[in-house]
Amino acid sequence: MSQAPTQPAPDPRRRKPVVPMLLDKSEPFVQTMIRLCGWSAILFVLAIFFFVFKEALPVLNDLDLGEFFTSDQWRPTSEVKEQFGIFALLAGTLSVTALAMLIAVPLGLGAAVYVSEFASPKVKESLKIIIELLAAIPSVVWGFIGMAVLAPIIKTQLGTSDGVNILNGGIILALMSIPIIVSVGEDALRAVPDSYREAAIALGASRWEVVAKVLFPAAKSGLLAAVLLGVGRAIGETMAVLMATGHKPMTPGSIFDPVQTLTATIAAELGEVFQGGTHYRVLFLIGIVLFVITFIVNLTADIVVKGIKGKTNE
Amino acid sequence: MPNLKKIVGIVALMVVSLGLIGCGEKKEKVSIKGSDTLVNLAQKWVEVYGAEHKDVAFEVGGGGSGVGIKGMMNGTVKMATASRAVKPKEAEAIKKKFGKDAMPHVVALDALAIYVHKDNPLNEISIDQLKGIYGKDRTITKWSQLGVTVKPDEISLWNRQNSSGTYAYFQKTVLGKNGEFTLDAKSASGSKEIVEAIETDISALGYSGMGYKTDGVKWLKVKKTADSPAVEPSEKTAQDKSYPVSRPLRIYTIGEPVGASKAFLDWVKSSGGQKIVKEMGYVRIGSDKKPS
Amino acid sequence: MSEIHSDSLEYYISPGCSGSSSGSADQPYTSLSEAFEKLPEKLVELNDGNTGRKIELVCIASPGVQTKPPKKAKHRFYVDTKAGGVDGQGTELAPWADLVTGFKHLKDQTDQGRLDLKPGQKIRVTMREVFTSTDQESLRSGRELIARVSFGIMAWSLVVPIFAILGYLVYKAAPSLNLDFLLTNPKDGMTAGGIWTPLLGTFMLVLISLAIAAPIGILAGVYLNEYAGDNWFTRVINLAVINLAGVPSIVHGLFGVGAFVLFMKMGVSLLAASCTIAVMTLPVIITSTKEALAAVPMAFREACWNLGATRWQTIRTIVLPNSIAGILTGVILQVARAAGETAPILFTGVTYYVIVSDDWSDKLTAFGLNDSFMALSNHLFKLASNVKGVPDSILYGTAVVLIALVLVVNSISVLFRLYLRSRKKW
Repeated sequence: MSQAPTQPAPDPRRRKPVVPMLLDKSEPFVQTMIRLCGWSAILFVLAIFFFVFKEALPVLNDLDLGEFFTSDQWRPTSEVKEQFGIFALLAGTLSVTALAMLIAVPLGLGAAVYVSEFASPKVKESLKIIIELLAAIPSVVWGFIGMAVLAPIIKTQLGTSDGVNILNGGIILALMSIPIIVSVGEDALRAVPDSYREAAIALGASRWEVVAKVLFPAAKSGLLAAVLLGVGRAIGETMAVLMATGHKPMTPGSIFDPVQTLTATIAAELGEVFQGGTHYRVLFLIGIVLFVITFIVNLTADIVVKGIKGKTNE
Repeated sequence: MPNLKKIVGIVALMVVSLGLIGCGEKKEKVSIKGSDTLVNLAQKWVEVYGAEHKDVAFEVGGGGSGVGIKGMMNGTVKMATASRAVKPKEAEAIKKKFGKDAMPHVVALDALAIYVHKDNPLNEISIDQLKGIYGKDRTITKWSQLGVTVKPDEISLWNRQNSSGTYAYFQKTVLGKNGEFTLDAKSASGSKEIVEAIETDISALGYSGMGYKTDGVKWLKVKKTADSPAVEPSEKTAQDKSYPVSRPLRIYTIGEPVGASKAFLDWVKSSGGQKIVKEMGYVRIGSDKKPS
Repeated sequence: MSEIHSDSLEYYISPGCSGSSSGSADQPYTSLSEAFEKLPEKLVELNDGNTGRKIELVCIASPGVQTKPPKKAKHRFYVDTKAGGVDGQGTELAPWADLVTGFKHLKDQTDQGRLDLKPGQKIRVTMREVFTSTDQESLRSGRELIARVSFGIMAWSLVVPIFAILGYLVYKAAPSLNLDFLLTNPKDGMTAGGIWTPLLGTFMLVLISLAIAAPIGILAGVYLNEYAGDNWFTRVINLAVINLAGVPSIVHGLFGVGAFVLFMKMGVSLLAASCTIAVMTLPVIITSTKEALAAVPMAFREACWNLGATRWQTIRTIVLPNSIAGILTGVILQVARAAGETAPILFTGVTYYVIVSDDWSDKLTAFGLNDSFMALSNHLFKLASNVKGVPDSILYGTAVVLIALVLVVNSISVLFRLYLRSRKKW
């Protein structure tokens, strides 16, 4: 291994087998490769933006962006007058995401508190594993569960005319985003120094008081990041909402209305559009809108997390 | 160090498997892609025909009529299945690129049936009523407006997604050339999804190909005008065009088909292929009918 | 500090009885006033300050009748010898300064007729110590229990429905869950047979995307942890990795169409889909590689450098062998994610149906790199939304196989991690 030249080397071939020698010789090459791969992450993010933008760009000439965001008329294939208003689709995405968060945030944070503060080590370990496995279930399976299992339940139990609606999609998305909220939330709680807990307990605080009055305020930015990452996951989800929300391009009036989301619109329509046509390009434009929304959400989460790290280091 | 060796081994294994994959290409490849309406039928044809013609590698894809035609223009699809005619814009592009026309071959007929729940008391409906239900103005939103009592009274309306050929055909035939659909309808990714939803919902109404009928749903007889006789969708009424919402299903080729494509298309139009059309719940092309 | 007692001393009274009275159940005091007069002496005899004790005076109907004493005291009084000699009212917030004055007050109250005890009732006098629980504390511990239980419910309420749903899926899928189902091609318009072709497609998709993403991702992780300095450029790369992980899968699909299918002219093919999936899963591999490398103590590297090894030699011989298991965990997670995704491959490579004959030579080489392919996830989507007359067992069976595939791969990574933790040497 050592390259020290001072050592006597009676038989260099024996001391330096061929393969390691080749590996050593390859150092400059390998280092270049490693550098290139490291930089590739930036390259890919830029490439995603570039290629999606490239396909969408030509449409900006003949599309009124104001109307694009404010009109609720999504009629991309109309023979009379093609209209591309994504307001109803935005409303669809936001309503499903909002409902999902309404369910997932209390449950997810509650579970995170339980796992981090209350559960015994064994329970903690098994809960974490189960929640991790929950995160692994593919989105198309979630969509299938929404469609085949949840929809009939909603319909018969609540007597609504549709089983596939905001409620269905919201529940499914909640279950999908809970694991990320739990794991990031638990990390945030664990990042609170034990001395905080000990100090509070020494002052006579109960465990609940420690959680409510010490941990929540101390970990609030981490918990916020957990919620934001959950939001990011819910907004970007495609197959599950395509199958579970009913896909109706109208601004919803109640949580029992079916809606169409931005992601589902792309998934359902891109396959059949005329390549290079306005509809095709508008779908890429929706892709950019999604990219920007999730970029902002994730960036905020990242900044918030960095904020905590900076603070605890001080 | 042993760990590194293992990794080298794994990588080598992957390279070998990739090599195996590369060997897959040896037969003549025929890809048939396009309409979702035709995809199940095409799949069955290929399954039966392919079992006796192992020298040809068939590939069947759905996604919609547009996908097939688009693929044909890109050269990735040999036969495009379509539930609508090629648009002038598309025909022009094909002519320009290949110097040949896109040739339609009618391979089956499809009557778009109007589906309701099997317990729904309604039995017939007129084109004008359908227009009132599906049209942008939504003059009919309740079952009571159709003269029947259903609980809940609100019609739970199903449509297909806006880029499907079925959607476009229904729009043209029922709503008229300048008709616009209401947006107040759920759109399904596939015909089966519509029928399954109707099976569990007494107040639901939707349209789909005849091939999707199940025991839980029934077809409505359709009247051209309020006074004309109500016609049940069937092979006979679709063939003689007395059923107002039926359409030809086509396979497009670029120019006259040759080789494996020709043999396949001939078989599809023969009694062997048409038997499967019937089995799958579609309508056979009339024996007297020349493919146009 | 004197010894703290948490037990309670019980004395009895029985109004109207006669005979000698010592406060025991057999020889109860005859009245409250008598009890309050005699108790102080009795307690002084114990001579231990009585700290932390509860003194309970139970009223029974007649001597020797051991009725079950009531749980709750009719009257509660408090004495706190550490309260500083201030005479209070005997309440929790204003306790009496000592027992003797306390009992004097009680006797006065009894004589004035303000205090009365019927059979079956009791009076409790609590000697407070610093660490004895007050009523407020037991209220708090009650709240604590509620908090604990409700947080527990929140956590378990996630687990229970999931198992119920999975159980239901497996129950519906049961008839088709056998080896034949996995190894046969779909037949009869996909309403019969098995799922071999989509399974093979998913397998190949995973393998090829792995072959692309694993080297790039691992090297990128090595760069970020071993080479990159702490500067703005590194922070930008890290930010890019985080955001790459957050890009919605459908946008990756759009990217795949724009970059691989169209720009690189791969067409709708297995290769284009694999590239798309590779880009999508890259951040998982990069992040886990980085973490695995960061877990190798700096001292290992320093020792190696001191022997004269170069950076690459150090990485190759010390850092990688010590972190390889952690890196593989990330790679395995990538596999699970790739196997389940639908949206990114929807337009880049997957197709509805590919006919494959029943010969194993065909079944193994069904898809070439430039062909479109079938994948399990898309197969489930199409079966659920488009194919008429699929038996439930096939539909649910496909879902269960997909879940099982992903869960098995994931469990391997979990086991791997547990094993690693157990044999960690530093």
